[in-house]
Amino acid sequence: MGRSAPLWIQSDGLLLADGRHPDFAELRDFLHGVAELVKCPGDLYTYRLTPLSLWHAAAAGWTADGLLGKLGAWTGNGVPPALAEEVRRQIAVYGRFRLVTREGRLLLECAAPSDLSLARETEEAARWLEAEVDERTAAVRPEGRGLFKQAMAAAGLPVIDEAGYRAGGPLSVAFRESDGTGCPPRLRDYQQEAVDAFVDGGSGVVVLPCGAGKTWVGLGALVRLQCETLILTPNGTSVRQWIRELTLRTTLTSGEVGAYTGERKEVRPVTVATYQVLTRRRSKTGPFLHRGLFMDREWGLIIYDEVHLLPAPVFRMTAELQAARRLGLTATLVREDGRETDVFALIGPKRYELPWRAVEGAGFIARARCTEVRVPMDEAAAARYAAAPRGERPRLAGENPRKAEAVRRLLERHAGEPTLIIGHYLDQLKELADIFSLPLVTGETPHEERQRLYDRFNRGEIRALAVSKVANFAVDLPDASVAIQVSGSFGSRQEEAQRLGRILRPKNSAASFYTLVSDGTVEREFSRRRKQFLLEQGYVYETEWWT
Amino acid sequence: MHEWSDAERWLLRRILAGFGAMPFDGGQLAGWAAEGPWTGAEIRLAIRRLVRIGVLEERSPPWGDRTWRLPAAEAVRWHGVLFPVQADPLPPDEEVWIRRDAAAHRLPLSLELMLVWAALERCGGLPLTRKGGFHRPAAARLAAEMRLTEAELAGVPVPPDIAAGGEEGAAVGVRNGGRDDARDGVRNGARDGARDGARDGGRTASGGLPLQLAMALDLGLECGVLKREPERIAVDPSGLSAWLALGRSEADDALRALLAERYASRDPALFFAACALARFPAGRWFCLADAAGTGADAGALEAWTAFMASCGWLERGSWRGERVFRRKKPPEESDGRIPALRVLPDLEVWVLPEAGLRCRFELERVAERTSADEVFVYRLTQAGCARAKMFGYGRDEVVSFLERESGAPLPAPVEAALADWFAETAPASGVRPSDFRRAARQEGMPTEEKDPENRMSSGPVNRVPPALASRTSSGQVDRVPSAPSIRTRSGREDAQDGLFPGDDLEELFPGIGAVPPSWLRAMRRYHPSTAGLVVQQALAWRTALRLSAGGGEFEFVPLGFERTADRWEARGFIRERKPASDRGPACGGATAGERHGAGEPFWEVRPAFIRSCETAELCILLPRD
Repeated sequence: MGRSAPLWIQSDGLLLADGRHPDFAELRDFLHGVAELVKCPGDLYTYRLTPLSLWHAAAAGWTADGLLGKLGAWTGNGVPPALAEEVRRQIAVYGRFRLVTREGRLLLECAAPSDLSLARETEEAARWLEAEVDERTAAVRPEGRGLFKQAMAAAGLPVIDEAGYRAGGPLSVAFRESDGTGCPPRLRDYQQEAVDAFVDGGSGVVVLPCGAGKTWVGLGALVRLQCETLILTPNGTSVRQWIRELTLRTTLTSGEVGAYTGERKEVRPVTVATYQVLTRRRSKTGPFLHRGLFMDREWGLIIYDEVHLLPAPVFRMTAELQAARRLGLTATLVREDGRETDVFALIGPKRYELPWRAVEGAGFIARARCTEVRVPMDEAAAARYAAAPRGERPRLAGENPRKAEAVRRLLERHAGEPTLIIGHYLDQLKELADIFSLPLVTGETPHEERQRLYDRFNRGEIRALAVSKVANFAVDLPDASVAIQVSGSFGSRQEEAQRLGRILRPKNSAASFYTLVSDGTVEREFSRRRKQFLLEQGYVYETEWWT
Repeated sequence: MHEWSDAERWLLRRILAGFGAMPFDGGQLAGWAAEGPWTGAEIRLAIRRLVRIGVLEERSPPWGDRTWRLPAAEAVRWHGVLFPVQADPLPPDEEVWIRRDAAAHRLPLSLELMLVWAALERCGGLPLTRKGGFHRPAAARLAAEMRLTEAELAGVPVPPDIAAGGEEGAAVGVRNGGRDDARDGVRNGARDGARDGARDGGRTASGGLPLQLAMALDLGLECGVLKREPERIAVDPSGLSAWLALGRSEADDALRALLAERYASRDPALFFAACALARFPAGRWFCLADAAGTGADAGALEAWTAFMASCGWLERGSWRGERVFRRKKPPEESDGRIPALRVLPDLEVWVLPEAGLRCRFELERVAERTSADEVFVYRLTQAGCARAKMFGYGRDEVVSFLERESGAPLPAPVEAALADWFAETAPASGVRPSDFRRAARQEGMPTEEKDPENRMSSGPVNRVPPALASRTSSGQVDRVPSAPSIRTRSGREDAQDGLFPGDDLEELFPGIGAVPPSWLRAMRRYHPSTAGLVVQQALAWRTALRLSAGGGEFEFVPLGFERTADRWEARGFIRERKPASDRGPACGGATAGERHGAGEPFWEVRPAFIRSCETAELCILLPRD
C-alpha cells in the first residue's frame, strides 16, 4: 500500500484497517479486543468502536489514555478529538453501575449518589428500582433484571451484572472418551476460546461460521457448567441433531435428554425445544401455551441455536430469564428485522467471533469457491417477464426454465460429488426433481422421511438432493460439497450464508457454491444483496455467463 | 533597489496593524504623525514612495477624498517581514498533555467545497429566479451537502453583499465584481463595522442564502470553478478542470489565501491574525499567546483559529491552561504510483487521504458517497452508474478509472455489477444530461483523453492569489524573513532614489518655490523674527527642523507655535535615532506601528520647547526621496 500506518480512524468511530500491512496480525489482535468487526471484504477490514466494545475494553483493563495512545500509534493522523472524547466518556462510565446480590436482594450499586439519580431519571430503568438502601444503592425488582439492564444500556449507562446466575439443577456431564469414531471428542482451540469467553462473560453470543462446530461450543458450555440446560433451535430436524450430538459426544444418556416439539413434550435435565413450540398459543392475544417450559424449571443454562432467528415473543420471555446463563449461537448475526441490539441486550453481547475466512484458512471449514451463474431467459419467458406486474417478476426470474439446463451442466461438471440443489419455489424444485430424478425435501416432507433422506445422502446412497428452505438451517449434511442455489428469498443475506454453510464441513476438496441468477432481471439485484454478508466475510464470487 | 526609510517601515506596520487591507484616507494619515516620531511630511512622503513602488494602491476619484490601501496579497507578504514571529513549538513530549477541543469533524475546505460544487454539477446548477434571486429549495439542498454551519461563520466577515438576506441582495452580491464593490470608498470604522456585522446574528440564512453556501459560491466564482449564467450559477468546465489540476495542498493554500484576502481583510484585526497564523509551520503545536506576541488581537486570533478549524486546517486545544493550536499537515498526495483508491468486492470504494481532487471529483460523478471523513467511502450503485452515463462515462471508462486509481484489477463482483448497470439504458430523472456531458467532455478523465486540447487550461486559477502559508518545513517559525523584492507598478526594478519630481515637491510642500532656498540648505543663525518664520514654515509643512543649541545639534519636530509681542515659542519634540542595542526593556515612544521593530534602530523622542531667545542655528529638514 506504500504507507506506513495500517489504520485509518473515521470520526464516527469506524476503523479501517489494511489487511495487507505486514503488522496487520498484531493490529487485528488489538482491534479484536476494543472494537467490533463489521466486515472484511477482500483484504480490508472495517471495525467499529461502539459503547459496547469500549465497555468491553474497559472491562479488559484498558484506560482511555492507554487506548487512545495505542490507536494513535497505529494511525498516522491521531484519533479525531470528538471521537477521543467519546472514548473517554464511555470508558469512564463503565463500572459506575453494578448489580449485586446481598442478603438475597438484588441491588444496584452506583459509584456516586449522582449516578443513582441518573438511573432514576432513566424512565424505563427507574420503574424497576425500589427503595434506596443508601445514597448510592437501591433495590432492583428481580423480575426486571434484564429489562433494567436493557434500559440502562439504551441510555448509555452500562450495568455490570455481578448478581450472579443461578446454578440451575446440577447435572453431571462430560465428554465421552470415545464417540465411536475412534477419536476422543475434543474441542478445537477456537471452540475452547469461545467457551471460555462465554463462561467468563456470563452470557452472550458466539459467532462462528457454518460448519465450524457451533454445536460443540454448546456442548463445551454444558460440560463446563454442569447444569440443567434448555436448548432452543429453529426446527425439529435440528432438535434431533442436537439430541444425537448430546448422546454421542457426551456422557448424557437418552433418558437425560428430552425433545420438546410439536410431536413430543419431554422435559428432562437437558431439553431441546423448537422456537415454534414456545410461541404457540390458541389465539393471537392468548397466553403462550408452553411458556412454562422456560419458567417452571431451574435451568442453569439456556442455549439459543441460530439466535438470529429468535422470534420476538422469545425475546420477551428471555428478558425475564436473566438469572439463567444465556448462550446464543449463530453464523450470521445479521437479522433481516434489524433486531441485533435486542440480541445484545437480552441474550448478551457478542463474546466471541471468528471471521469465516479465518476459520477457512485454518482448515476447520471447507475452502469454498462461490460462483454466480448468469442464466439468460428464453424469448417467451423474457416476454412474460417483461409483461408481468412488478410484484410477479421475482418469481418469474427465480423460476426461469433455462435454469434447468444450467443445473444439468453443473451436475455434469460435478458428477459424483454430493450435491444439494436448493431453492425457494416448490414448483421449481418439484420440476427439477422430476427432470433429474432427485429426491426432494420440503416442509411437506414428514420428519422421519427427511431424516431418512439425509441419512442416505450422508451414506452416499444419494448423490444429489433437492431441498427447500427447510434445509437452510441446522441440517447436518457433512459430505455435501456442491450447492446449487436455483432461487432464493429475495435479498436475504443470512439465507445465502446459511446455504453456503451446508457445504462447509471440512473435506479434502474445495466446496463449490453456485447461485443461478436470471440475467437481465430483478434477480441480479437480489443476488447482489444476498451476497453482501459473504462478501463482507471475505468471500469472492466469480461470475459465469451461461449460454 | 529601493532604500527603505524608517518612516516607511513604521508606516507599513501602522497600516497593517490598523487597516490591514482596508482603505484609509488623508484624514486618518494626519493623526498618525502624532503617534510616532514622524513628521507629517515624512508620512506624506512615505505614502508617496510606497505608492510609487507599487506597495500601496492609491485611488483619486474625481469626487471625494483620495484613499490608499495595502492590497491584501501585498499585505500578506509584508506581514511576515514586519512582524516576525518569535515562537518555538511545544516540545513533542509535552504534546501528551494537550487536550484537543472536541469539535465536530471538519473536512479541509478544498474537499468541503469539492462536495458542494460536485452537487451543484449533479443538479445542473443553482437556478436563479426571474428577479435574479436564488431558488431557495435548491439552495437548501446544496447547503445540506456541507458540514460547515452558519454558526461557524459567525466570527468571519463573509462579504455581506453575498450573505445578505433576501433574494435580491444575494443575487447582486455573488459575482466576480463583488470584490471591487466591497472596497469602494473609505468606510470609517470599517473594522468595528465588519466585526459587528459578522457577530450580530443578522447574517443568517433567514430569507436568503445560507451563509456557508454563500461562501462556497463566492469562492467557486472567485476561483473560476463556477460561473454565473442568466438563469443559474453553474460549474464552469474549464475552470473546474484547472482547479482539479491543483494538488490538494495547493488548493487549500490558495483557499486559505483567498479567505484572508476576501474575508479577513474586511476586518483589520482578523486580517492581522490570519497573516500571523499563516506563518506558523504545520504539524507542530504552538501557544496562541505566541501568535498574540506578533501584535495580533487575542479575540481575532480566537475567531480566526476557530474558523480555520472549521475549514479543517487547524486543531485547537488546551495545554497546561494555555490555548494552543496546530496547523494540520496536508496528506502527502498520491503520485499515481501509490494507489489512492481501494475497490472492495462488496462494491465499496475507499478513498484514501492521499487521493487528489480530480480522482475524488470523478467519483462524485460515478458513485454514491456514503461517508466523507478521513477516508471517503463511496458505493458503486445502479443509480451512480446511471448518473455516470449522463456525464458521458461508459462502463469501460469507469472500469479503467477505478483500475488506474486503485492500481489493481477490479474484483469480479464489481466488474459484474458495472456491466449490469451500464447495460441498463434508463437515465436518472431530474438531471440535465446535456450539461453533464458538456462538463464531462471538458473536464472529466474519459473525454479529456479524447480531447487533449481541453486539458488544464490555467486561466481561472491564475486568479487565485498566491499562497499565504509559510511552507517552512522545520519546527521553527520563520524568524528573519527577507523583504519582498520591490518592483514598481510597471514591474521595473526601482533603483532610483533621487530628487522629487517637480510636481511632487510642490504638492508635498506647497509654496516651496517662494521659500528662500537657504532655509532648506544648511543651518544658519537668523534674526529671531526670521527664525520664527522658518519654524512656522516647518510647522505648515509638518516637517522637522535641525537646530543647534547648547553645543549640540538635534532634530526638532514642531507641533505648535505661539507668538507674544516680539517673542515666540514653539512646542514639539526632539527626536534622536538610536541603535537597536540602546533599546531598553521598557523603551518609551513605541506605538502600534513600532511594536515589532525590535532589532532595528529606533527613535527616541522627548517633549521640548524652543523659544525665540534661545535659538541658535536652524534649517528646515525636508525628508529625502
